[in-house]
Parts: sequence; C-alpha cells; structure tokens
Amino acid sequence: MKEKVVSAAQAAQMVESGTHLGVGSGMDMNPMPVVREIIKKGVTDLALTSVLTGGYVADLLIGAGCVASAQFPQIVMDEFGLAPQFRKYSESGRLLNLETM
Amino acid sequence: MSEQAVHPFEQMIVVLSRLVRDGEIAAVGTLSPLPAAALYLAQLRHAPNIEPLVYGDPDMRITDGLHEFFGLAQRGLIDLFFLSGIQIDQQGNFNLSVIGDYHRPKLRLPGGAGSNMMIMMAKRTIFFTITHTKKLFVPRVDFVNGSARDDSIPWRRGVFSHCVTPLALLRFDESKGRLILDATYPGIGIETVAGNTGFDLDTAGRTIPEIDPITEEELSLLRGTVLERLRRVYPLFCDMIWP
Repeated sequence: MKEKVVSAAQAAQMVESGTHLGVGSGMDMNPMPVVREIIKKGVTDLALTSVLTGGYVADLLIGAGCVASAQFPQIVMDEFGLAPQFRKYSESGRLLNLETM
Repeated sequence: MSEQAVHPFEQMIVVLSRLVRDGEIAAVGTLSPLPAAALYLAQLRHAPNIEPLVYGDPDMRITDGLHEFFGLAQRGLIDLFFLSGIQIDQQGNFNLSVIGDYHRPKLRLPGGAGSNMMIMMAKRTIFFTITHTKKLFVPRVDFVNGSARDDSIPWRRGVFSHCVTPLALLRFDESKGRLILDATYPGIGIETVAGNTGFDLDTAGRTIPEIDPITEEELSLLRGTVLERLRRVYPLFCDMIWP
C-alpha cells in the first residue's frame, strides 16, 4: 500500500508560490507545523481561502508576505481582537480582499 | 444596590435581556459577550423556555459549528439573532468591513461573516454597539454589509428589531423605514443621545419613555450565575469588566 504519511516539511513542499490554498485558519484546530513550514519555504502570491473564517493562520501567512489575495467571510482573532497583519496589509493596499458577505 | 457601581455594559446586558421573548431560539455569533450574557440572564428570569445558541459555549446544542448555525437560520429556525456594526445609519444599513475607501481603507475590520444572510433569515435581529457616537451612527455607512431593507432582494424573513447602545435604546420603525429613539436610560437625556447621533432620531413631538432602572435581582443574577456561564466563553472580557 502506498505510504501517504509525510512530514510537515514534505507537505509544505507541495505548496508552490501562486497556489490557491484552502486552510482551516480560524482560531483552533489548525495545521500549525505545516503553516510554519510554508512560511519558512518563502512561498509568495498565495490565494488564501480561509475555511471557515480566518484567524491566527491567515494573519500569520499574510504577515509573512505569503499571500496576494484572501477570500474570506471574516478575519479576526476572536476574543483577542482584530488581526493586526491583515489590517496592515489591507490598509496599505498590499492585500487583495475577495470578501464574501 | 450592590456596592460596585453598575458598569455601562451591565446596563446594556439588562436592556438586551429584557428584549428577549420567552420561547425564542436565540443565536449569538462570534465576538458577542453582551448578547450572550443577555440570553443567560433572560433565561434565568422572564424567558425560561428560550434556547440560547451561544457560539463557543461548551453546553451549546450545536455540534457541527457554523455550518449548522447558518443552516438553522436558512431553514427559519432562528428566532432571534444579534449583530453589531462599526457604522450604522438611519436606514438601518450596517458596516462591519471598512472605514474609508474599500481598497485603501483607513481601518480594515474583520468583515461581515454571514451577517447579511443572518439578518435576512433569522426572524429578527437586535443590534448592540459598545459606543454611541457620531462616528458610529452616521448619515450613510462607508460600506453596506447588510440592511434593514433591501429592495433588490425579492424575499426575506428577518427584520431589524432594536439597537441597544450605551446611551439609549433605538428601534427600527418599519412604517417610517428608519431608526428612531425608543427609550433613554435613567439620567441620560434625549439631548445627549441626539448630540451623539449623526442623524435625526425622530424625537420631535414624541414622548420618549425612560428605561426602568436595573433591579437588585437582575444585577445579582448577572454578577452570579450569568457571569459564571459567560466566563467559560469570554474569559478575557469577563476579567476586564468584572476583575
């Protein structure tokens, strides 16, 4: 049987610059080791779709300069407040917001 | 009355709770400690048969997260929902996304997160705002996430019911198609409310009642059982208001 288990670094290798990446990016149950490896790899120009809403992961990927556009119904750190990198990149016009209502 | 002075948020929680009708299935989404507390309080007092669906509450009867939440609303099974806004205007438009130009905003906010669907599909929506200023209650919102009325939509079930602020209780008047002042808090005059609102609240010639003061029972329930329940969902908020 084909071995399907890979390391976080190997999984991150499948994510290329420009990939449309869907990731559970709210405030819990996120694949943090893979997200860290994606950032370490220096991926850019991701189209990010937050499933369902965006939180810590979305903010981290945006702040690391990995994301060109974000599709989301909401990006927020829940009780911890506004997502600072999402704010910074949106307010300076460096992030294309494809916002769903 | 208890020794510790009533916090403006406590006053708002009580006003929100009094608007809840017994038997309602009432849902609270993200970032909403005030309505969550209001539902817990209402359940202990005048509305024992409500079902509070508080997002993040470990006892909530919803197991499939937001999917199930939105699904219930679309099927007409949510009677009451709560929303806020960074801007709200006289026509009942609300903004949760940006201040200023959409593509280069002065302030980028979290976004609507299904609020437009919820105000259309929940039977009624009560708004709450943690400030009451002319910056919030504006003549026209910078971005419309949702609306009390939208003539381009062929059918909706939901209405904009009330808006609870730290200064007053506003109500959306369907016949006039606008937000009006419904009642003031004890000790806060109509002039104060009007002076902090960026549009006319239709107060001329109308008698505006004063909200009944918070009772000893409401306050002790709020600072007891309600707070205990709320802490499990909003620990940081509770530490801030009730240190």
